[in-house]
Amino acid sequence: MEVVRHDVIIIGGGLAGLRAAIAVAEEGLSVGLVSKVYPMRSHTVSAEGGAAAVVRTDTGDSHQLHFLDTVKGSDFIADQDVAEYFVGEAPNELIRMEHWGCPWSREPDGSVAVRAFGGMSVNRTMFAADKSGFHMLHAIFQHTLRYEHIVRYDENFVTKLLVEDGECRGAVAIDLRSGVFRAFTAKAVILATGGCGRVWAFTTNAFINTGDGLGLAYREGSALSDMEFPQYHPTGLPGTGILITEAARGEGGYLLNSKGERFLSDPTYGISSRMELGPRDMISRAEIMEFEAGRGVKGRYGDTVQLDLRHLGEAKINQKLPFVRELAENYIGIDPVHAPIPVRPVVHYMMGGVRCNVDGETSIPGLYAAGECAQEGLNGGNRLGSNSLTECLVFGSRTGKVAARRVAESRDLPTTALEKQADDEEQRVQNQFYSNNGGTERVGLMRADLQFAMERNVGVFRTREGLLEAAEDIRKLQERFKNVKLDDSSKVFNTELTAAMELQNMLDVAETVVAPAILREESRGSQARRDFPERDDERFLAHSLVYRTPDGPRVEWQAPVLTTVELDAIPVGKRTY
Amino acid sequence: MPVGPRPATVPTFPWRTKSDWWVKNNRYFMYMVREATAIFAAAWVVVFLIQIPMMAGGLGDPRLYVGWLAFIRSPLWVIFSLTAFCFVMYHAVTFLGLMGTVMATRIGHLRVGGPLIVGPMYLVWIGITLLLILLVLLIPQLGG
Amino acid sequence: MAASNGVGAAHSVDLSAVSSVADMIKMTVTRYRPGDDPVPVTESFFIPYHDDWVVLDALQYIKDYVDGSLSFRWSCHMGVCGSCGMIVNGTPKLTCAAFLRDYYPHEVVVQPLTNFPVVRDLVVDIEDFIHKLEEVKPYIIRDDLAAAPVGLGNEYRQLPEQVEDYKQFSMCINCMLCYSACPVYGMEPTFLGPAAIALGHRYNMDSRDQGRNVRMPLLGSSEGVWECTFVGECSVVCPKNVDPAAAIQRTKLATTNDMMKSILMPWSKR
Repeated sequence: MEVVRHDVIIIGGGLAGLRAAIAVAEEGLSVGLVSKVYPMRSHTVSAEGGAAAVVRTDTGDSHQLHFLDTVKGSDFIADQDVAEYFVGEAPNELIRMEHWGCPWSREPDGSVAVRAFGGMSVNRTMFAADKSGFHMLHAIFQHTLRYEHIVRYDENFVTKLLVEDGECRGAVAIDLRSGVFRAFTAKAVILATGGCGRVWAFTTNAFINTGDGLGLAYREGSALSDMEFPQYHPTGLPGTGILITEAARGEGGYLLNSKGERFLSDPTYGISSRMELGPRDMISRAEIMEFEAGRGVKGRYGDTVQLDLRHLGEAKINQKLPFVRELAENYIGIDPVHAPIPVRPVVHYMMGGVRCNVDGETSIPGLYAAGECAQEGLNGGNRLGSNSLTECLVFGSRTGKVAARRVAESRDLPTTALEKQADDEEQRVQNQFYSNNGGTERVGLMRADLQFAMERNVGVFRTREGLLEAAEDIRKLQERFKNVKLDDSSKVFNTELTAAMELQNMLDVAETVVAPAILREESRGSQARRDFPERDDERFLAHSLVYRTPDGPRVEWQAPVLTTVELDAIPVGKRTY
Repeated sequence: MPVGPRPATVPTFPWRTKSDWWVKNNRYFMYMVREATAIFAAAWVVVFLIQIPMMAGGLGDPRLYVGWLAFIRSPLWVIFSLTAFCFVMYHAVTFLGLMGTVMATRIGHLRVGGPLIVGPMYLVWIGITLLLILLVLLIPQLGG
Repeated sequence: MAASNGVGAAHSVDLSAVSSVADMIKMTVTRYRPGDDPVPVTESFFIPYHDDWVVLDALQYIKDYVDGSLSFRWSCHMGVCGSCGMIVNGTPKLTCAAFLRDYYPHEVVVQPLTNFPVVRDLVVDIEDFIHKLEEVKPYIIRDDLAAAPVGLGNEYRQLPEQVEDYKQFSMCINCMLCYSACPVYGMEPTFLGPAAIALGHRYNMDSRDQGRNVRMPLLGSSEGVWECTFVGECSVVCPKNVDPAAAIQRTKLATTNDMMKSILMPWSKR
């Protein structure tokens, strides 16, 4: 078993992982960046809209305002101390990205431009045309190339974390090129593996977003938190689920029903003052309610609403939303300059994740989490658009620094026990997936069954019966998975093996989504229960925590932090716009 | 180098370019034609250079001069010259066309590229050609 | 496991898994299993045709329902991650942007990118490209970078037209279709290549950067821009209109200017 030693191992090479790597490298420590894809393929690359921070005050913006928007947007279960830290650090991180070469769009005087975004009371979203995530990822990836201390292990798939005496000290990964297993050992491990949208059938997420880090942490006993809150983005293309950025609405686009009405003006939807710039969960719910009232536009893949950009004009679309035009033309044959784009809610982001504090520390010493895979308390029940790119930078940076501190304070320990664990893990994978055990279940079929089970019953609107059915479906699939059979027995670039292990992670994630969704008997943020349509602050003003037990997931509740240091704390209130 | 070690024993199937790569599509083919224009230009110049001693020798030996006259009147030379001329024109036109992209730049707020560069270059080219034709026609008259 | 006899072993799909099928389309893919196959071979599959599917969807269908051992790279399915470049009917393409309807009812032949060694099936070895990306020093180089203050109002000013100077060249998604199209790279793998040079040019043209002199020795070397003979196919196949050919030629001009200046005006510092 080849053993690779670094001071810090980072699993995942997206915006949070790369930012954490830079933070560690700047302390002079060595980083092993382990990613199952080359970093520029990470899903950060698909983000379009922008990154929010208080970078201009001539708009009337302030930290207090960004803080208020974020906490209210979370439906009041954000940890306010974390959100406070976030809004304070956000401008620093975004300007740092600018120094590192990110091609932010500019005002005529050369200062960074900001645009409107959903749930933000003031324009504060910095953007790079409509490919912000792409530009940020490439800029930061290219910036990491200056650091000798950042050693990358591209196309290495982590199968297990190495935890010894209650401390996380490494990970086991397969080098996809050769099929060789390696034990990565370190004094701190940072998970930055992103989201898990692929657990559902219709998602904006890439094929690689299978919740791997979530599964890794869950299986080692770490709590996953707020997993019942996947975010439904209101404007995904029907069929493919491809994202049409919120910036299309930020630039002035309208959402119309089959009658051509801007249905968000309906006061029962609660966002008549913001209309298309309301928070994502509320708009997605409004769309589904329009469908159920028979006012959806019927298409090949079901109901849609119309995203109308025609009134913006060709010049503005080409300048501010060129990628939107390209996507609509290529994937559904519609030119938004001349026709509205059919869109529907699709799963886009996971507010939940591995529970950690503002430092990224999880319940397992030595294990950290940052970015979308972490639940550090910022997003609560609903995330505001353009907060997550900033989230990756702010918490990637802080977590990297904190992990570096741990390294400085840790002793060197022998790794023999870790190597033994790694050997056992290699044997497990060999037994489960390579030996011909007469299995019958195809990975692709099981995955499709899982995705449709989730899409059916764990959607925008949920019921107890539906969720229980989903829980049962997941249990059956977990049984079926024990009988998995691979066609591919090669060691070299075996993507069926990785698909099977990703499916294992997806099944674990699915279980952690449904369990708290059943027990949270209220509607808050992106969880909307038909049987409990109101918020219940008495019982559920709390984060959910899910732990793995042999008898199934165990759910606990944890009150959010409602106090702040400098900014005025936001009292829990009604969430209407 | 910031990339981790790779096991050395993983075999990959190596790439080898086939010698007929340039017939695969039209653009590759026309590229080879463009490159081949150099051969024609060079060949024509070499043959022309060979003619100089023939012409000079003709001052002393009329047979050489007659031989040279016959040579430049032969269909072979005419066809070869015309062919070389076509190739050289193709070379010039493709070269000028590409200059639009190569020399693109910005002057203050004005972006200069494409036709704004190629246009003037064509004018200069035509201008110089006319000037040279004039010189070729006039100089013998001046000397004579 | 599908049989590989080397010459188009056709497979019919298990129709019980499909609810309604109007037409089928023939997909012929390259297979290469190191250790089992001495050379890459082809294998054909008949799968249901959908008019809004891309080639990647077809490959995924084969993997999920017919032969799970077909290996290929993918991720975003929307033309921005650069993972899924392959040769489709002889042309380098992003398979997530190559629509079956443009080929149907003809056969679709999918091969790994040309000019690269093949790792497995449709997966090629791109380590050489990654290495070149790093060599070109694609990051802002400035003396005051580490100490520059951040936060409100501290961005380097850059006018919109200054952003336009390099914007086009920053759109590269590292899909390597350009390397696949470049006959020079195919015959001379030491060539830096279109995307790497375009990226170097992007930083050279960024008004915030001061590192041009650091990049020019490599860009202006014989493995750099001077290996390029302006075939121009790189810009033709680029799915993002980066126009790497333009970047290379402009860099040729720039290195030539630099050289002329250093000879004619050795006292001036750039």
